[in-house]
Amino acid sequence: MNEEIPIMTDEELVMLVRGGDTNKFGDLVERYEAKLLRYGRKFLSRPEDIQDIVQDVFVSTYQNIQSFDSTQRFSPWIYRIAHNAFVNRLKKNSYNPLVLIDFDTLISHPVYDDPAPREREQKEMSVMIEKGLHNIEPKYREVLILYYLEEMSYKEISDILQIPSGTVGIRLKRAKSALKKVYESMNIHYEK
Amino acid sequence: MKNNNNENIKEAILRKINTKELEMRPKLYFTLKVVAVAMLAALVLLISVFILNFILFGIRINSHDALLGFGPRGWGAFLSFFPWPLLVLDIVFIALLGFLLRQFRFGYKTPVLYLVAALLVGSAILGFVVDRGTGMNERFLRKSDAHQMRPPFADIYGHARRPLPPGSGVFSGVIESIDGNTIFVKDAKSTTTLKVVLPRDNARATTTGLLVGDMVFGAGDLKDGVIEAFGLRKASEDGMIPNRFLKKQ
Repeated sequence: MNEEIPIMTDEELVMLVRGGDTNKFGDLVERYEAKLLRYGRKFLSRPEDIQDIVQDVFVSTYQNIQSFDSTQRFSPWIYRIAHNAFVNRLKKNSYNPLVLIDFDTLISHPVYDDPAPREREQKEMSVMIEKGLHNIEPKYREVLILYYLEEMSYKEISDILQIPSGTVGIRLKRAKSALKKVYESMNIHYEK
Repeated sequence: MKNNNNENIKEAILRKINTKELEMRPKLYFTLKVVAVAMLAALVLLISVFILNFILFGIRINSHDALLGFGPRGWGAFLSFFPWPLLVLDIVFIALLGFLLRQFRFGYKTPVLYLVAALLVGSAILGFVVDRGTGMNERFLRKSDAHQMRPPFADIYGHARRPLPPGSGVFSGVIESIDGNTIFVKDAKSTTTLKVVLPRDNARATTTGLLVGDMVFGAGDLKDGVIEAFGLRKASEDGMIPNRFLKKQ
């Protein structure tokens, strides 16, 4: 009889790791290594730096795994750790002054996470993001990556970036406008 | 690169785990961290509530709230006497509290401005309840007057009564005599007698209901030693506007 082995969810693997089956952490590393390396490439250009940071992300994930809220999804949690690590490296590398207040998070914005236009835009946006991404602000770059490339929901992005869901929506809108401007400056026609 | 070329990330991490070079932090560590942040947030909230309570007490004890009943000019005087530095200090504490609460999911899910506004309003309501509902400030003030308070409360309550700025036209004292629309008020803090002229047909500044010996609080323009009042209100014997929520102690 050919019995199919059920695939464990990330959260189930976390529970096993916490319970003492530490080798199962290797499965989590396998699942997220490529994703996080790809995520890192959108922030940094040197492959060695990205690999070092991704390794640090897994170290930090393992050290803090007992703080993971098992009622939530694991994916936004590990992306949150990765986000912090990459943003810290970006800050270290840039001369931009520290931004204490992000004006996008001051008031609420309406949330329209409609999957229909997302599906239509997905392929087109993915190509555009790959080409024009490095020319837009990191805070806009990030939402585009998480939404179109990592295919996360507003709620998940909100948890990763620790901003209100409405702010995710407004940032995404502004990010698309910024991308459009980049395309116009490159004399490439943008069609929504 | 931290791991050598022959070792991929997974192998490197598992090697560190198996050699105990990399270990999980215990759950207690995170529980204590959350408790520490929550306690710090509670302490900051307490300080914020105390400051707002003290602002409200200061307004009440100095009868500045009476100025709000004296029309637009009274409002102007009220704003000029308002302890703005204390409010700014409180806003700093509220911002700190907002920052601490953003460590929690409900904190970062709420827009910053709404969070800060809710905390400010919440602190103000609690401050009002503490001031008007507990009698704490009156007890502390009496202790401060009797030099039975310890720092920093001795210093704080020692500065609760704010002397009226000379020449500001705001006064409080006991009525010595009434002559038509003119009253003579013996200043509460000195032996000076002030001549106060009240406008005719102005409900905000009238001698109606006033008797010699009454304690009054008023505001006006000081001209040639005479105050032309635009507002006058009867006060209690200790110079405070009576506390509607507390029985006289």
